[in-house]
Amino acid sequence: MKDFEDQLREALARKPAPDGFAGRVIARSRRKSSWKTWAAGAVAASLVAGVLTVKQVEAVKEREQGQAARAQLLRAFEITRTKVKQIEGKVETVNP
Amino acid sequence: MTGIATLSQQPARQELRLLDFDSAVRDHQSMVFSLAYHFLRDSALAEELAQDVFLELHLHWSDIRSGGHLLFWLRKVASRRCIDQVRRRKFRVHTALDRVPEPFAWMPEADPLLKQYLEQLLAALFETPRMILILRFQEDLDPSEIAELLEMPLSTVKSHLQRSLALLRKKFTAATGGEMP
Repeated sequence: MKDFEDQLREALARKPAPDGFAGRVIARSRRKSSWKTWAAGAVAASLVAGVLTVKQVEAVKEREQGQAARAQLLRAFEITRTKVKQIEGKVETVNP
Repeated sequence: MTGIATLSQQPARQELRLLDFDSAVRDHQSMVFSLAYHFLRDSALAEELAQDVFLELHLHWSDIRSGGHLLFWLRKVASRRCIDQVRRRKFRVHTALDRVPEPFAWMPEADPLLKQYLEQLLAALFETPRMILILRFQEDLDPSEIAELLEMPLSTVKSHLQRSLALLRKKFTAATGGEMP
């Protein structure tokens, strides 16, 4: 008669995994890996696109600020020129 | 490089070999599936759980340091997932130990019914003692190894083992006409 613990050991002996088990696990792990690679690629692409967009917006902003500054400078020159002409006119009137 | 160096299970040989994830699945599929099967007593659920254990291993593959560590990791994760699944889904086989029907006649030792009866008795145990018995008799682990795996005091593991074995032996002996040792 077998010892009770031997009976238990026999009842709890390892069983073979179902047919194709390893193949199914490996296939699932690869699908997960490829999905992760794809997702990482998508995230990286989004980041690059985001950075490029931000840089483009900054460039447009800088160009607009430059143009505004140029316009202000030209206006300042115009005002200065007008003032100088006025002063020249007055000087000529005093000392003909 | 995806391979890791692993120690053979035979400590005398301490054979080192290169192991990759695919080999790990092939080498340990029976162990992980059996832990789940003996615990859940449902082949489909056991396969699902075993697959999830290996997918978790795939995620943590870079953390695995050796063959011994791999084996420990798989046993630990499989045990934890089994216990969690039963607790979460209330999947416990609700037959109390006292209600497991005793066989109507004495069964010879090779009778497959006897094995089935033992499995029924085991399934009637609570989650922790059930897993402790499975680790003890399927994996042949010492109480100290089980304690480390399940992160519980050694005295608790020993007490679960003693109590569960005494209970099962009593029921089993009664079923076999008192002829078991």
